Amino acid sequence: MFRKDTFRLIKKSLNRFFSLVSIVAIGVGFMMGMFSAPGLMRNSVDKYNIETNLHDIQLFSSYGFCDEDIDVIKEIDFIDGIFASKMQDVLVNVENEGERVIRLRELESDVNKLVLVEGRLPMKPDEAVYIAGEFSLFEIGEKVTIYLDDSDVSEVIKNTEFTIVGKVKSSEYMSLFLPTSLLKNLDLNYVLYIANSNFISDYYTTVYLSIENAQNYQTTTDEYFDYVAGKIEDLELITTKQQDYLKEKLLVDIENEIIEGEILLQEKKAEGEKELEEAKRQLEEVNLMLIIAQMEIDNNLLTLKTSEKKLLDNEKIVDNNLKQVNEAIREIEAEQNKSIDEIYSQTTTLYQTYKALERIGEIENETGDNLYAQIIEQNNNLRLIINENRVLKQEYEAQLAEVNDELAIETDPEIISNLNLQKTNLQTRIAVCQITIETCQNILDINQRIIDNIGDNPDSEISPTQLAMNEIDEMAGGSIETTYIQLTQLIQGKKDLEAAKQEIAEGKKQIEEGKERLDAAQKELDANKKEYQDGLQDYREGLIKFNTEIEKAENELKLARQQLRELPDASWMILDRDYHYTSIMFKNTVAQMQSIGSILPVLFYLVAALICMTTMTRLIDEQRGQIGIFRALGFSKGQIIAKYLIYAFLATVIGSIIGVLTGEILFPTIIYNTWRMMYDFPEFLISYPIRNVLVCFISFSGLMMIVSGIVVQKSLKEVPAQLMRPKAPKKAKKVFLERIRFFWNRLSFTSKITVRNIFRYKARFFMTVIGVAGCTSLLLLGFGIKDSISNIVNIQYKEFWDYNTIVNLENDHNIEEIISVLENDLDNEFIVPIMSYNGKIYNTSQETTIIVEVLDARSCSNIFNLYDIKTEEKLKLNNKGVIISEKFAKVNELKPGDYIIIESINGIKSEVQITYICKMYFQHYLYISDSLYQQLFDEVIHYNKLAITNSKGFENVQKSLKEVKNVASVTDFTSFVDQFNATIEALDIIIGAVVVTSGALAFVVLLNLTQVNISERTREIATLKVIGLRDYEIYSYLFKEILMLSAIGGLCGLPLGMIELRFVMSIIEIDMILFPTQIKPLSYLLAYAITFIFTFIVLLFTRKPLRKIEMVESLKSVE
Amino acid sequence: MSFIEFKNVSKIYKMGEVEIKALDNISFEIEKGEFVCVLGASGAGKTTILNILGGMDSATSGTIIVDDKDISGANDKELCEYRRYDIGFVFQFYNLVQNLTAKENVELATQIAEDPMSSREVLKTVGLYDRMNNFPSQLSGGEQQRVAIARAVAKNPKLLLCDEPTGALDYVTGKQVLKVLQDMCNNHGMTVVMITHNAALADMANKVIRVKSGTISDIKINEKPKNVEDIEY
Repeated sequence: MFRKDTFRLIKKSLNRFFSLVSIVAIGVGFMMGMFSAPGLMRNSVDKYNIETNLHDIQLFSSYGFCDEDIDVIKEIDFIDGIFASKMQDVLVNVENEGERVIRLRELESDVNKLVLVEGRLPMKPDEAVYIAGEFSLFEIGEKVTIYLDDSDVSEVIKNTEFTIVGKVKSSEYMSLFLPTSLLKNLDLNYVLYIANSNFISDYYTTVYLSIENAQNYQTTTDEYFDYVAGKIEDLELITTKQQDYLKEKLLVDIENEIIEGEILLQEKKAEGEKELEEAKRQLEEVNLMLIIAQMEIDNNLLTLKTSEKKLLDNEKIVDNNLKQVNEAIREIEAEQNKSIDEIYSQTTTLYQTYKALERIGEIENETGDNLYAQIIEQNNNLRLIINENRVLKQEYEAQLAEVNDELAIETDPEIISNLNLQKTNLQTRIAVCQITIETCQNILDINQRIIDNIGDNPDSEISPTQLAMNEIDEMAGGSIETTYIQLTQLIQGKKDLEAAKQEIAEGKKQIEEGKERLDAAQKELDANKKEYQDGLQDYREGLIKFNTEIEKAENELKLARQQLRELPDASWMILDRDYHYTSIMFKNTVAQMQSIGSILPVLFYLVAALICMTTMTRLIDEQRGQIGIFRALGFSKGQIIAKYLIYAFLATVIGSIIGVLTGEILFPTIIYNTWRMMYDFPEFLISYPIRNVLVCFISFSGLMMIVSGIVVQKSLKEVPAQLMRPKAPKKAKKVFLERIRFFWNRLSFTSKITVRNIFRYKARFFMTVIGVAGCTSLLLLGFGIKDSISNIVNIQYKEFWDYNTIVNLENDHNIEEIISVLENDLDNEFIVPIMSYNGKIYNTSQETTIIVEVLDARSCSNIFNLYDIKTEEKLKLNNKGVIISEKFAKVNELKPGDYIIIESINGIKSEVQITYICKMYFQHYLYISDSLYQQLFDEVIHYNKLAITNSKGFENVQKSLKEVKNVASVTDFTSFVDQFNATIEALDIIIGAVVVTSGALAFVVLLNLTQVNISERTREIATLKVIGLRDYEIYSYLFKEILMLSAIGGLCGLPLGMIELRFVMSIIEIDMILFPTQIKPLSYLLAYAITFIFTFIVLLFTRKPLRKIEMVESLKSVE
Repeated sequence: MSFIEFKNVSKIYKMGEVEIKALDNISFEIEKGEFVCVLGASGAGKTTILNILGGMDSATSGTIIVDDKDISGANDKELCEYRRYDIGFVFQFYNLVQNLTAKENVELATQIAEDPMSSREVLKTVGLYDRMNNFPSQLSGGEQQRVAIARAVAKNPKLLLCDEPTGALDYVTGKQVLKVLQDMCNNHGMTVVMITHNAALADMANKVIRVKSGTISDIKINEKPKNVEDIEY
């Protein structure tokens, strides 16, 4: 019967029971989930790591590894698995994306085994499977072509085109953010696995080792790392000597190559010089010939010119003479009004006649005849001669005609020339005859005149011939001989002059021709000269080029020798999983989850516990009467307590079961899947660690039962009779607020009631306020965590570090050159050289490694904004001491003024004072001015990086330094920021889950409190209904109180939330990261608003129960 | 038409197969200004009548007319209005709001009434003018009941319903309270319906309705109602 009563109790107050169960469920579930999440995550990953044999140790060396190295390592007994990889980072061109960096790894390996996810494994050397990084753009079936910027990729990888046949996962690359590549300091985008036979380089890039028994320890735990560290020490000892092997070998090889190179250079140099000499000699010969040719032409030209001058002079003379002759001829012609030829022919005839007469005269003188008789005789002779000649002439003319006829038909040249000869003869003869005839005729005429004259003077003493001769002289105007000679001379002179002129013309023509020939010759010569000049130019250029190349080669050899001297250290880097990208990230993730998981649930637990307490108290209060009855009936105290303990127990058990089942699945799954945004996680293994279950269950049920027990005890202190009577209502009294008449009178009726109620039922008031405050504080905590964490990046990478580009230098040999190149671009606002190194601090206990940055104190404020952690003033770097970062100081309990022992980059130690401690969220930093550094260590500072503020972004700097030597890389903070933001994104979702859960808890709490509130006042409400208060008036009567409580609770919750946040943030510690405590004003508003929203929703849900209150039932008398 | 008319009213409770007839086809009438006593043993159905009359419960069948208004088919809202303006209720266990002073308790009612009396006046009427700023816990049982009456009356309701108003009070105090009720009726013309299981009090009423097992067993009219002071019990 008693048990029945217990169950009826549950049935009757199902709402209350249910809300209890749900609160327990939420509390337990959350607690379980959050406690278990890190462990489950770690378990799942651990199992995956073991299955895939994730490496425990990875080896790197500046020289790579050779087969001999591998053999030595294989011998070591605690090395379980070994794989030497020739991995290679290459470039690919992805459609629409551009150039991407991918890593090529060997497909078959004992260590870091692959798990096939999609498609199949490669069966041919030109097939590949891929792991995606953050972006998965490859598809199965796609073809990929690889290349390298500065060398031929086929020298290291056999195939250059691969077909993707499948997708895999690897525990080595579990994080979706792949590490930086070896190539360009850019992040990797993909990893491709191809057949091992593709890797043809001689040396191995890295070696993966797995250690015996390491899998007995769970990944990322301290025990694991300690175990591995021990093995690493052993490994270091065993391989010390071997580590130098490859360097020595390479040294020798390189040395030989250099020597070969030098020899080759000398040979080439000699060859080249010889060729150049030959070319030079040939050119000189040609030059000489050209000079001679030119001289010839010049000479000829001179000769020609001289001849020409002479000719021209002659021409002048001839012209002049000709002019004179022509004038004389014209005069004569003008005198006699006949042409000169006529005159000459007449004169010639006369002269001939004269001469004939002369001869006759001579003959006559011999004879002595009288003139007249002489003349008649002469005339008779003459006439005879004339007739003879006429006959002859006729004969000759007839023969001439015959000859002409024959010429007309004859073709034989010999005969023709004969005939012509004949013709000429005949013509001459004819002419002679003619002349004779004419001469004789002339004489006849003259004789006639003489006869006529004689008529006048018959006895003249002068012979007729002499007379005729005198006549002729008279006719000639003096002396026929003179005239004739003059005329002949004149005419002949003219002929001669004209002939001379002809000759001159000829001569001129020849000179012209000569000139033309010389011109042509000159042109040819010029062309040849030009050829020669070209040849000369080629030679000169060839000479310069040759010299330059020789110089270049000599420099290269010199450089090689120098580099040989500066070869890096040969020691191997033996790294455990703390240097494995994915492992570090995962370790931090788990640590984060652990921190959050250890605090939040406790807070939830407290709130849930509080509510449960309230509920049980109320329940037992209401049960007063019942308890009294049972006591009166004789049941023992124990039995009565048992009833309520069972109630509490049942609620807890059911709630716990639900909580455990759902919570263990829900929260870790949410968390796990959220982190899937950053990791390619293996399957999630859910387990129910008994320890956690027991802890949660016992803590909750224990609390519930204790509380129930206490409250029942209180009731049982009263005597049964008292219990059965209604509880004396608490005395009401005037609230102090009432005294403020002014304020009090202004309150509405319901407000007055509300205020009084609040003050009257203090317990209820405090319960509600605390409950609501708890929930609001959790909401604010959630938001606050997000605010704090999300803002870190902006502050760290924009505030503290006010630069956006980092140029990492290989050495500072040409740092001035680099700086001046950068200064040319005006967008580079600040360029600050820094020497940065990992330094050890020798007198601290906790953290001992710090990043030291040495820079000019004056430029410090250009790129850093360092704020004092206490005063928040901006700090200046000076020569009095160093500035260290907050977390380092905190962990080592250092304060300004303390002394620490730092070391220089070369390991020299010195004591120095801390001037200030600055805010810093990431890692540990020590800032020291360059002058102080030099003061302490007396070393030359070799800057190894430049911090630059470029207003357009780091790509511009990258571009301008593309061709410059000694630049190792140019980056900005983008990759850090992106990675961090992704972490935040994951955290966001988890916080979201927390907020939602807080909200759920808040809701249930409010619902619970409201229900309890109402159930206590059923009677009151019924009375009001009877009085005739309408529904909404009753709502406002009650809801005002609840709203006010909620408002006050919310307000109290805000500072509470701040305190919780401070506490939580100090607990969420991740290696080297310090989270600031920050709450955005919006978060306060949100937390408060959400509380109100829930209150409203709860009130909405409460209206129905209110309406349902039966007046009749509720007012039934108690007794 | 009487002020209040109950015509063939039944109230049946169904619990599964069991039917409980709280009221079985009852009918009666009450005139305005009457002081009515409803007598009967415990469980007879008197409270049920009062509840239905007071609009706190509804009849399963029948007609109830109050001041020419039929409230039998009224819905919850209408009943609420009815209670608000037309009814004043006095409970056996006072049911005052503990957190309010006497005056404020009365003001609860006056705030919602259409034409209320002044709370002070009413308290004066019930003789508690000096105690108006005291909380119920500071008042004796009788004083509390008088406050309750004041609350009920202050609304100026058409009907004053009292469910065993003196049940929790002693003889003297009870008489005091009854006097108040009688005065309300005689001096202020209020129609009063009072439930009691004390037959002696029937003499002060104009009409006595006896209820037995859910039915009206008797309706008696008193020509000359006695004054309360004259009644001994």
